[in-house]
Amino acid sequence: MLELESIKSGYGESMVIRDIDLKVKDKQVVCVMGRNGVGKTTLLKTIIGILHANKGKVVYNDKDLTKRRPSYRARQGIGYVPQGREIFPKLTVYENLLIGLEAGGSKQINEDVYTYFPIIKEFKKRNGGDLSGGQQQQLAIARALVSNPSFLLLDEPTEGIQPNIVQEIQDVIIDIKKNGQTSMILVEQDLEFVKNVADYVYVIDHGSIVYESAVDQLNDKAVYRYLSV
Amino acid sequence: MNEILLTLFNGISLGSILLLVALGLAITFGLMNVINMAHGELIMIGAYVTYVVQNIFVNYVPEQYFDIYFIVAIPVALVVAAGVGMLLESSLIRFLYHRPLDSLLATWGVGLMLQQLARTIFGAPNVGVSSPSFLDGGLTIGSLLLPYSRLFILGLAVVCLAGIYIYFYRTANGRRVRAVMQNRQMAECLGVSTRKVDVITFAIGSGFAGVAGCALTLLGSIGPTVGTAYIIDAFMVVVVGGVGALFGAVAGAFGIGFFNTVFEYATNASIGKVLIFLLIIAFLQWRPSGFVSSRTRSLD
Repeated sequence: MLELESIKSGYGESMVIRDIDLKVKDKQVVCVMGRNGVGKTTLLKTIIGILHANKGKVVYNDKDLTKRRPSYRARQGIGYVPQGREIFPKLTVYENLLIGLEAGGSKQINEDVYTYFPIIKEFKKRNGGDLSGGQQQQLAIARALVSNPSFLLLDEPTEGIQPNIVQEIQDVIIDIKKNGQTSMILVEQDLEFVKNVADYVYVIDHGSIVYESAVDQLNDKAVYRYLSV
Repeated sequence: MNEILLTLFNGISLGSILLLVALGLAITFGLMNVINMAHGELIMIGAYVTYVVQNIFVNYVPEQYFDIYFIVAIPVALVVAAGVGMLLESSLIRFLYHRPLDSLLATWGVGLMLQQLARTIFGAPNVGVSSPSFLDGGLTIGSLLLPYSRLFILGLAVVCLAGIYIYFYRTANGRRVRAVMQNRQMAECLGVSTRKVDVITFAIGSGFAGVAGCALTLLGSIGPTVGTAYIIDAFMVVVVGGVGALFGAVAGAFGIGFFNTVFEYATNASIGKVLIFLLIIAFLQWRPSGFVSSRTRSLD
């Protein structure tokens, strides 16, 4: 479904990612782990197209996306939930969702998002910027889901969020996996949750993949070695 | 009493002219943050379009329909100015989005070129546009005479404002524009084609400059530099109103228009201008980001 071939990417002169190969099969959930600053977010930004790969290829459903703009990639069915949520502060919650429809997977808002996050229906008319951090995160996920993407990029969706909302978000991610319609790359630090939801795990350090494994053969010790500071 | 009312009307009238001139700029400068010094020349283009439409009517249309020319000229001016704006955006401004100083110089140069072009085509002397007869005369209230042309400009400003409001706050296109202006990168990631939004938004801002130019023909003769006289005022309106806030521009326009008239009435034209500048400087000390400034939790 998604294939990265020896990707090199970064900001200007500084290369953050060197030579990453990564594969996500249809309906598979892949978790990417690693310490802060090793290139996880850069990797996702390169997949959605905010950053252009200096070398290598991004292939999605047999289409080469490497030179395409983010909007094109979004319309191919890739949904993106960035780190820091990136809600449109002066659009209402509902308008934020409508912008999510621009990706064109469907014409109408997928009602599931209201079931997942009842708060979003309740706060429909408020400005996105007036929501709390956790609510904004829920909105960011909902906004990515409204157009029924076939592929989801989630960048630390539970980072810096109060525990009960973390639980809610994790439940939603598990539910999306159960529905089996969407492939996913999930950047996550919580190993217990990763074991719960992932099919395959990559660990990144210094911009390269240092460990990879199917989740049922995961060696905790090996993972912890790269996660501990 | 009458004099007070007349001053009030003049203030509102000047405000509506400023608003009309500044509306396009509120979009290109306020929303898109492009310092477009050629905005005045887009106004000039609108004015000359009106002149050309008038001449076409004089030459090819039976005389009894002559007055319609002005109604025809408004949408034509909008479209022509929007077209020029579109050309300007896609050939120049899009390369300068994050270089405000460069775009200031470049668009100033474009402005000079457009002025010269107008001189070459229409000649250096001013040309007159005769107002349609239905705007001759005025409305008499008591002993007050309110010129129809001024009232028409007021109405036109209100209609343009309503149109812009509906476009930005009630349509899918407008929603896209607001999303892009608030978070360009994220909008792009969600599938919004930001290039398209930029071109269309700039074209709309330019188009309303054309409409303003059309309205200016009612106030006097027009020349290649007709827009230059208004560009400073237009920028002032947007800055005082608050960059990025459409309704700030309304407050800015009527505020400046009103005080300008009052000061001029109390002193004379040049002292009035000085006073209004002083007032604006003082105001911006008090509210640096203009009438309508906003704070949200967006950066949480």
